[in-house]
Amino acid sequence: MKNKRVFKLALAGLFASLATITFTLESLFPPIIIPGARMGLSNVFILLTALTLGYGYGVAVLAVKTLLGSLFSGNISALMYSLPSGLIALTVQILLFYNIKKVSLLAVSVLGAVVNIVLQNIVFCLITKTIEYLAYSPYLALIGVISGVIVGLCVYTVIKKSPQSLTLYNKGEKN
Amino acid sequence: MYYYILTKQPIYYKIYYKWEFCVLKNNGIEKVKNSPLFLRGDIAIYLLVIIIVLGLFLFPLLGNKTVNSSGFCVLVENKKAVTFYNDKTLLVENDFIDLVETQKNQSGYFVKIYSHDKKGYNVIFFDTTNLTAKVVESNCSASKDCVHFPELKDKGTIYCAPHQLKISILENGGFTPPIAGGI
Repeated sequence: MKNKRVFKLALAGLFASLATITFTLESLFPPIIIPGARMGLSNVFILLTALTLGYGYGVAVLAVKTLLGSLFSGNISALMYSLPSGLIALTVQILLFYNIKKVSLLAVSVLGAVVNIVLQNIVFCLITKTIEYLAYSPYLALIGVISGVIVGLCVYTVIKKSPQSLTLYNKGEKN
Repeated sequence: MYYYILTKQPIYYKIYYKWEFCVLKNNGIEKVKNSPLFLRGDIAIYLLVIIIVLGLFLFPLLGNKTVNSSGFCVLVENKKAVTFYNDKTLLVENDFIDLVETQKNQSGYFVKIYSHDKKGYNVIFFDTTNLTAKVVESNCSASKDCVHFPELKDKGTIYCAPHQLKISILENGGFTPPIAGGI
């Protein structure tokens, strides 16, 4: 690999487009039980980017996904509550996974998904001054557990099964 | 020399170095490749998740009680636009007269509320026999969350985030409509 920075940038762009497509497709389906609830399967690509390319690339992909996804689905006000909660959840995941030795990816992903979905609900309630929606948050957390398991398994399988040559560019070099 | 520069940096530089040490690593792939799906430390995280979920179950106990409704109230950007009373009267506020279209049917009222730029709209259906309210049509976003809200009868609210439209229940004992000709 001659030019690693270009390669990483191209890969990050690919992941961002995939995340945006997943987010937009997901918003076309009716919500699961609770109004506005989604699985958040586009987080597969964000976690994958943060693990393979680095935290900075992960944040960039998250920002692109939330901005373009909310523009495409026509709900720009969603930006206010989905961007900060996604950022906090990603930071929690990365901090836990890198700095505690005996922690697996699946558990980190479950915790991140729960934190993400509950924080989104709380920020939504604070912004729109509708406190009664806090009653939905336990059920949202259960949806978050399911989506966290799915996301964690996806990322684990992708990294485990992908050949060593695809991930060699990251070896022995600083971001 | 390098050490001297490090110690003389302002405080946010030190925070950044700490941050770089904790977050900006790139051993993610190797750690995933060399680890199984379950490790001993996971038990603590799963316990934390269970505690969070159980703790959140306290929220429904605090609120979300059923109220004795006397009608429904539609707020657009925190201003009252339309009120429906259970005695089958519909009240449109003065500021919203050119933004609201109403249509009466055998089963109830269809109320179409435009946003201020006249591009976005929500159609709300007030059922006069069962005394319920529901958003039946909207062009707010691709997912149309407000249409998927359950019917409003004696608890809850409907909120449409892109149009900032909120339908809530008028509690009994609150404001009662003036009777024409009454004293």
